[in-house]
Amino acid sequence: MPDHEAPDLSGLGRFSEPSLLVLASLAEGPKHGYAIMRDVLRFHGSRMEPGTLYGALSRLERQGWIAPLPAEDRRQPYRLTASGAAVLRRHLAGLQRVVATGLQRLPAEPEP
Amino acid sequence: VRLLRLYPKAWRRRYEAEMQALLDQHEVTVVTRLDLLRGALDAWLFDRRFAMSPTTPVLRGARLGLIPCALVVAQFLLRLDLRADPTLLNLLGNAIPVSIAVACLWVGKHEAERGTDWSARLAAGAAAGAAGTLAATVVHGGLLLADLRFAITPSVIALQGGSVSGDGFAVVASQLLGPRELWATAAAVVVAVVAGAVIGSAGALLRGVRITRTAAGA
Repeated sequence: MPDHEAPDLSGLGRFSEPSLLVLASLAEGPKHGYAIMRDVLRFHGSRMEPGTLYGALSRLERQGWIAPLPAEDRRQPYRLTASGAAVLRRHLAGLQRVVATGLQRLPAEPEP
Repeated sequence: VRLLRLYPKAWRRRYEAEMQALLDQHEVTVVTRLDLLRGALDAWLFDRRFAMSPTTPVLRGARLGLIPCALVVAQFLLRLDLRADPTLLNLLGNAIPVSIAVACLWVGKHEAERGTDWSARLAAGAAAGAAGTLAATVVHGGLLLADLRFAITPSVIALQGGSVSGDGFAVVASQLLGPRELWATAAAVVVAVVAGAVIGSAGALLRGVRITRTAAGA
């Protein structure tokens, strides 16, 4: 059963950043663990290790933000749920505000 | 990868097969192994679905406070090596109170993440400090007595001329269990309770310092 003590990613402690990457990966469509790792490497450039990935998957599943689909052989695909998509959207909107503000406040780059 | 056996049973029932499938495709490096170790520790301690889950902040704090005892054992094991660097031994000895303080800081942060109130963070920090100090003292004393009784480390063997002597054991045992030492231990635990509570509260402040968290809450 999902618990509601962590209504946003910040409640996931050190797993908040890996969880963000997992949610962003699943926003494209269902994936199993290895496909998530490859996708994160592709769009973020970071190599997520299995211990961290499954720490994040376990927490996201508990929150009800992702859900397992029927297993394919030994591999278990996951999909983003509606509440997971809402959490991801809210988090990305917050990040977008930080990015926009930061870029706006930075002085223009000097000409080389 | 045998490290998967370190995860809790319930965790393994749920995730082991798929994680094993993933590891079959993944290049397993030292970083992977360290990450799995950290993941197993996390699953035992903090993953609420699988962790041994004490229900009160005091029990959660006390449980984490016991971890620094590993340094006491490590220091003892290092003494078994004749060529052990004394600097490293001293460093490990000094790291014990530091690691207890870090444990207090950590429980404070985790209590904050659980959404508990300030009294719970104080209690968890105090429990971590008390449990860490008491356990480190007991384990250290126990290993010292065992060493004197059974002449385990090279330094004690050299001291006793290669033979197991009961004299040193009896003298040290009476000192360790004497009223003076027991009062000193009790005083150390009281100090650890106060310091642990303060540090635990400071740990709660660590929550939410990441920019991503701030942004998400904006």
